[in-house]
Amino acid sequence: MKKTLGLLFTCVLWLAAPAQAAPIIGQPAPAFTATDTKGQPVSLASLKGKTVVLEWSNHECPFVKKFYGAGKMQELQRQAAVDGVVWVTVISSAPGKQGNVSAKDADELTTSRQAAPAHVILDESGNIGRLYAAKTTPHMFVIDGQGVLRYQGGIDDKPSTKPEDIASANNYVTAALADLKAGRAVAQANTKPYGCSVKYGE
Amino acid sequence: MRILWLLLLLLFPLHVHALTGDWQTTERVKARLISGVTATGDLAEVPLGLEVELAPTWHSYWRSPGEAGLPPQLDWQASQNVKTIAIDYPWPERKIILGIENFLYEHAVIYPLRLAVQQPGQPVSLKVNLSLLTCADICVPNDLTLTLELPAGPATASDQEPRLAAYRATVPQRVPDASTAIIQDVAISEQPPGLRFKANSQAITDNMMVIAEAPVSLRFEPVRILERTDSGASLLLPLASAEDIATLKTVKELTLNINTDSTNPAAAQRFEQAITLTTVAAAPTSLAPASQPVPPAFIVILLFAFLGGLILNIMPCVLPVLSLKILSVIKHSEYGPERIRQSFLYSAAGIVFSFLVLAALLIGLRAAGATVGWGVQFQQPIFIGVLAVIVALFALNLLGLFEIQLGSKAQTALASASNRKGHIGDFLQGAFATLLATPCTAPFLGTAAGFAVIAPAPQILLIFLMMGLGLALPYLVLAAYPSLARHMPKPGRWMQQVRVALGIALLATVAWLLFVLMGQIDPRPMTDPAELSQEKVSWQKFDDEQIPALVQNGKIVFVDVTARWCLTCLYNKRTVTDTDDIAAELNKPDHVAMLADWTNPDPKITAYLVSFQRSGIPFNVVYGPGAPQGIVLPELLTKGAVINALQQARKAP
Repeated sequence: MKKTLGLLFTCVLWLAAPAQAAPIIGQPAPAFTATDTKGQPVSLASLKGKTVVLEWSNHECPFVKKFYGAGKMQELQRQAAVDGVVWVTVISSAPGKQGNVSAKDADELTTSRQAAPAHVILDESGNIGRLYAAKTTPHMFVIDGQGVLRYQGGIDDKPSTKPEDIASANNYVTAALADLKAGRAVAQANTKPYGCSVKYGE
Repeated sequence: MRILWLLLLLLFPLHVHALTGDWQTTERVKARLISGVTATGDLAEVPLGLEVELAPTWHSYWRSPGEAGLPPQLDWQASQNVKTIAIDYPWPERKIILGIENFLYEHAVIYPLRLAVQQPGQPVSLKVNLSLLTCADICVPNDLTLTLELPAGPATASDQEPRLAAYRATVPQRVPDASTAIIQDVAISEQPPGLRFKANSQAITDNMMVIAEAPVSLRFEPVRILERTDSGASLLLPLASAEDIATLKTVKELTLNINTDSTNPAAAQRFEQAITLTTVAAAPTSLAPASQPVPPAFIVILLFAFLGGLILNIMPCVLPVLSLKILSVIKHSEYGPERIRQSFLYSAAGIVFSFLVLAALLIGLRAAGATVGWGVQFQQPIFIGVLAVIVALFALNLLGLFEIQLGSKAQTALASASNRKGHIGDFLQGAFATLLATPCTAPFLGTAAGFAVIAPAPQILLIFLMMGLGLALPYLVLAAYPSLARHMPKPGRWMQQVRVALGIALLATVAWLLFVLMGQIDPRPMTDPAELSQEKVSWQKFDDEQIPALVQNGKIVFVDVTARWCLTCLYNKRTVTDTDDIAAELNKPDHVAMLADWTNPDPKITAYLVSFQRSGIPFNVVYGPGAPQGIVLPELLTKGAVINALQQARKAP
């Protein structure tokens, strides 16, 4: 009898598969915990009090190459570090898919590209990517010190693979960080990301 | 004269000057420019095309690429005599690739171009730098320089024009947002989440397709036709994720693209219309009545819970348990009052405890974000299978005590649940009563359980506690007055007969459980045409979104939410809905009978129940011009109640 009741509970619990949804601007950003490529634990909770930028990346994607090739992404990362903003690069490429790298390769990429993220997280399972409904590389998120999502979307307003478009584009991440720093509401809080699709597993 | 030329050209295509640029290729793609005319003539706008051939597995993109990708980009600055080049986008395919939505072209596509000439009548020299993103598993941009020389001279159709025209025809036709708009009454729908609108096109087919282009990332499911109207159809474009409703509400402007038949390009019509979202639509009437019923006071709910629990005792699923209990007491007439009292008290404790467990479960599940209802565990085949085995053992045990002589060991094993001497047996008997109660809703119970589903956790516990106490009341009364049991008839042959009868009743329960189980293993729904054809009522599949429109057209709608595992539902069917006189009413031409099959989980039906603050079935509602919000019928149907509701619903408001 007890077994039956136990079974009943497991059955009903099994019904409760969580639904997939994009995070909402102005709501707490989805909590995650991970270990970065240096073996350091990273969690959204532990970064409380600091503004956090999440950058979805795939170093072989032409849209990502556009920004690293032109040095723009590195520039944003350095400025973030100066301003006390924690920049986290997330790689959600599944094993065997484009952009999937080992921790060592990821660190070498950081060195060779002279990039300056605070952390690089390998999200092979795609769990963090799906938690944030990250669609593209790049796909950018800005989270404030209270852990509230303030910006999500594209890196700028000129969808292209051409580095020469960067100069004339309006960079949404720079604008969002400036708004946050000034204590303003983020003017453009939700835009359409553009880029390659995130290379999730099946 | 020009027409003659055209005819001649069509007749003698070989004589036509082929106006195409050279193919430029990469590993993934080849591309060239083509012209629809042989020369610039005096045209202000010259029809051109960007022809793209894609290697297998590669695709290029529509103007809104979906959740990733990029449409082609043209730079014509190096050209001569070109003012602008506008690119048009033929109707794309929608493909979900590894969870990402794409609007794309595979194999080949011609993007029609409209070239505005700086000086009409002069030749045009085209040098276009094309940046064409192609993706397969990975994305690679292709940078190609395409050229084409267009001479001056009579602008007659080239041999490329028919190919170009075929693609141009699939470009959605832009509709000015005026009184002649194809799309009207666009509004955000809260429940189900999405966009509702009317499309005034006679050409709409079941294979229609709608693409919404919003300034933010929003994915929609394929469009649903809610209702056909004289002028077209009323539609719902559902959001893929209900939580995205908050994002949708931030959208002010969007573009809707309609393809009336995505499977028949030749016959299809395609429109594009810019929409300004001004108002948030009221929730559809069928889901949330405009005047929300005021929830009854909590004390009333508790009373309902208690009464519902008490009535459960005489519901067909639970009746055998109490009867058996009393019988076992009568049989052991040698037991003293103290022994009898304890036996009932432990059973009552078992009932109350198991109800509290159910409450805890409900709270936990709700915290996990699931929608749950009374008896949903009956939607799980494993649960039913295990329950069937237990009830079968129970029944055999009953019969076996008197008629089937088993080995003493086997008999002891079988007798464990009902006859174990200890208190554990009594306690489990109580839990068993609860378990058997779950497929039943009794009068009052539906209201209480429905309230519980949306109540805060402490209230849920209280409501379930009251239900448990209600079900346990007869046990508690007998515990308080053990002498009552003494007033029962003396043990004798009649007990044997009653036991056999109850055993047979339980075997019938087993048969029913197996019937439910088979219904689940055989995925054929209760709404399967073959099954429905055997019923007296001509049922339609439940679709609550159709109800408001049906009511507007003067129809009376009878909704029956049922499930194979719902014993009370089957009872209602036998005694009321599937009888000749009720079926005759429901089959009248101005009546629509809808069957909602909740045998297996169905979020749409669950949402419908919750909108009435219900979580269990049977649940029946009658809608009509006199009752657009619906009249909820009692759990135990009577013919009179159904006829009354139908009459009330018929009255004009």
